[in-house]
Amino acid sequence: MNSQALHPPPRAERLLTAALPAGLVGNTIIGDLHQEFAEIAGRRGQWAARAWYWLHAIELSTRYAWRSLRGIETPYQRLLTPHSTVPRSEGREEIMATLLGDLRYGARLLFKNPTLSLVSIFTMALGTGLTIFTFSMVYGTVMRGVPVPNDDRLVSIQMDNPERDIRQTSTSYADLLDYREQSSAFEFLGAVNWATVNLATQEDPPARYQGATVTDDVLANLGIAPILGRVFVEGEDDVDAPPLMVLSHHVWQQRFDSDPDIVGRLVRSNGIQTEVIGVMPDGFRFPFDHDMWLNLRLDPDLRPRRSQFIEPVGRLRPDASMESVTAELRAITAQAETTEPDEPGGYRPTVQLFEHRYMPPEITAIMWVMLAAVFGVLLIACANVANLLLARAALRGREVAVRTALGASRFRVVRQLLSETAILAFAGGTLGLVTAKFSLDAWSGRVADIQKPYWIDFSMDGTSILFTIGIVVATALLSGTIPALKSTGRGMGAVLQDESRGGTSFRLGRLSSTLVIGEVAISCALLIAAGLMIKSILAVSTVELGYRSDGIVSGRVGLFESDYPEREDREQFFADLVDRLRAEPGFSNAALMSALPGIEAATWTMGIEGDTYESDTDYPRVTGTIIGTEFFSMFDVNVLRGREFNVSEMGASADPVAVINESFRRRHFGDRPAVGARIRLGRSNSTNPWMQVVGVVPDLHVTGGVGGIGSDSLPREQIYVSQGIFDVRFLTLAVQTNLPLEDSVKRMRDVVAALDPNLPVYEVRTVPQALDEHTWAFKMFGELFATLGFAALFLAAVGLYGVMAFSVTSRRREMGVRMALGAGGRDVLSLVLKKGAIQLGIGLTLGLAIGAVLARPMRFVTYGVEATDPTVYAAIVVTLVVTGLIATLVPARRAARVDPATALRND
Amino acid sequence: MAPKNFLGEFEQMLLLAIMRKGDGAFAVEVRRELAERTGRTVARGAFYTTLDRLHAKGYLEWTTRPVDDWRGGRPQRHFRVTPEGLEQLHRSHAALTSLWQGLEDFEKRT
Repeated sequence: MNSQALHPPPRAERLLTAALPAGLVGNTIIGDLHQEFAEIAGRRGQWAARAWYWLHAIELSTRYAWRSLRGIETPYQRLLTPHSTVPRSEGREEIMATLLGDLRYGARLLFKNPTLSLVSIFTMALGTGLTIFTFSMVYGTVMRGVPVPNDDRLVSIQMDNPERDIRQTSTSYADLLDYREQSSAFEFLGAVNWATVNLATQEDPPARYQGATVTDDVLANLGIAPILGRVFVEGEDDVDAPPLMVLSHHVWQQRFDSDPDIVGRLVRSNGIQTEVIGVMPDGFRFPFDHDMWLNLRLDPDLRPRRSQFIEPVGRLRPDASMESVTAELRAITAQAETTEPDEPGGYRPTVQLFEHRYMPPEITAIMWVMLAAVFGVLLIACANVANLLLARAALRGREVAVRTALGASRFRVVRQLLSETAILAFAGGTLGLVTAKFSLDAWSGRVADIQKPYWIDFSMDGTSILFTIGIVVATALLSGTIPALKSTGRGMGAVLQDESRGGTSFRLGRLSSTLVIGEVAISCALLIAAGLMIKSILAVSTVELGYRSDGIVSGRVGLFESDYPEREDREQFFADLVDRLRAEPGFSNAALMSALPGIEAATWTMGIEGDTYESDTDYPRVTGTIIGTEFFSMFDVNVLRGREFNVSEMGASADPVAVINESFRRRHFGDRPAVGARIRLGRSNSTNPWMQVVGVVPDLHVTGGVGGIGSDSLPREQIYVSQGIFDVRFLTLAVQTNLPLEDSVKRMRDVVAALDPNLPVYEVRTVPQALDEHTWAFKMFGELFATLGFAALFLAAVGLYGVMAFSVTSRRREMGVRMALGAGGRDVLSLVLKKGAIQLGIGLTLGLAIGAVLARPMRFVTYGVEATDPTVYAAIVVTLVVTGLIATLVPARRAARVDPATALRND
Repeated sequence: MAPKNFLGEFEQMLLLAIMRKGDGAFAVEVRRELAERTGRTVARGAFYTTLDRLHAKGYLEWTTRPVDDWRGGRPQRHFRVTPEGLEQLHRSHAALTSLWQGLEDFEKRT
């Protein structure tokens, strides 16, 4: 631990200094805390100690603040102790007393007018609750960052090749070695590689984990120390180094019962004897959501330039910038490519913040839009409360004037009014905080099973709480200051005169109208965003999958070369597996495939026999899936032409065959017969075998997630190739069954265990479940925007109604006079309506403009809807106009029913 | 004249804990002693404000000793129970004992 870590958080210490009695006593108490802090830091680490310190600082300062607020030395106690310790300034006590008096008085007034108070509190709760919820989400997703020291310099490198239309691919070991040798911009530069780990011990059956193989410098340089044993040291990523493993805390806990003697134990990882050398602390899952780390044992001599499979991870030196290092690495790569002309060239590395590696910029953009949107809602809430308070301040104009006349300073009166807002904001903020807390917990539970970077955490922490306090203070000031100043800033003589005549001199006027216009504009913009999302949700839920998804359960198995060395062994295993699955009672059919349709698919380049292509970049790109027999019959897909694969076409020795979809046929064959034609994967220099097209099927929805991020990026043209063409080691198996999920999973595992007792079945789920998991991000944003939009609509309606209703009430006398002079109810009605309509119109115009701007970054998370969709815009305008008119009409009708005699008699 | 009211439960515990740690006990160890002996966590705020109160009543006194650079260089208070404090403790104890008299086998009888 460095010396800096031994200091308690300075802000907490300042809080203590402010709250504790000044002088020696306070100083010794802070010293006590400091002493225990150092002990805890030594025992449980500096983060635990900091958290501990904060907790105790808050407890102590609350206690002392409360004590001084109550004036703890009561007269009774003073009698007991004539030598009272701390001399207390009378001035301070007096201020406290008046403040308490203000608060008590404010609370009484609020109780006297419960409807207004409840509406205000509810409005503030809605505003602050949504803000805290969204802030915590945005903070946890894109602001907190990777929990390792200096994460602002932690970078990853990815390769692009614009010529070949390859984006964000891995890097090769050869590149990594070049960068290490030739660039001095890195403090360290290592590599990680994702690996599925089949972990077996002598006692337990094997289980599947997400492991990462890393070069020896990665764990050593991240700055997180193991809690047991050690991490890899230099030389342990040599090709002849022994296989070693570092465990994550939860695997150590769950799989090894937190065995304190784990270090040195031998386990079997993917069939290879591996020694456990260390355990990482709780919560460390670098780089994504990993369970364990293995040493990446690479042979530097075996380094084809374009064998790209590793992801470089490193830390930049403090003086290096991403741009300059990117330029430097590009120059190194270009230079290396010229010395190896046989290898494909044109690759360009890009250095980016490691955090962004797993957080696409689209998500980040959406997060910020969401935060902006929620601040919009908060502004509306503040405007509403301000309007309600303005209305009441107007009615209390006389009280204020009397107070001033009796000698109260303006400051004193403003403080009194502000203390009321403080009560409202405090109550609303607390309610909002509690609601946000529960919603966040519920939300975290809902997304717990979704694979996401390990540092994403939606829970509230110190920052969120501080943010909440800031928000509540800001709402109180925002919504309280204007009414308070406004109602005190006028000559009291005028007010007293006015009020004595029975009218209300205080006109809501321009300020109130501006607030309403602003509210309508913001809610219009938010509703447009919400509308686009709702339309997208509808589009996703009604998307034509093209296949049956119910009653199908899937799982995944993978064979390792250590257990199945020959390709024939693997093919035999899969052939036996599918036979046994089909024979299993309760399963009506079974099929093997590289991935479930609708979940993910590979993108392949391919050519058609007889067709000529001008250059390599002109070869068509298609979405590809590897399948076995009876794939289409199981998913209930009609083969339009030809047939699907039969058993004799499986295996390496069979003739290669393919099935294409209707989009492919239409685009590349047109009027030519497709069945019987031959196609080949790869480009001009391909050595892949020609495959005969045996069938044409309808388009299936095979993309990376229905409506998920980047859903439209995959080619619509699809091909299916038979399992025999590739030597596949990992396959998804799917069975068609009416059995309950648990039963079918059990049978599926039994069938696999009968063939190989050491083989785990993982990713077990129904097809609808799998689809849900891949559309969560989309649904999440959809629901949030819809919630924000409706909250805004609700608040705007309340705001409009409140202002109109008040305006009508305070103009009762004017209405009375007008009607006494001959104006009809209809005239009065139109007078009020006109005012509302003008505000609504201006607000809508502004809102549509803001909404159109806001909708642009949203195209990343919408599906099947344009950012300028006219139906959405029209629906929003209609909704707002109707809501606005209702909010205006109710008070307007009341105005029209005014009996002139009554209105004037009130004088 | 002795005050009419008795020491509160927590006040008694605190004074006893100081006495157990001996003259010159300091806050961190007193709080720890309290927690260990009574098996309950002692709220820090309550702890210090009670210390202040007992000091104000004259039942305990303290001196400070300078420290070097540990504790962030902040001084440390060493507490001692005054004769008045001890007397109060005895009074409270005597009152409780007298109330208990004749009730030792209360549970057995009922």
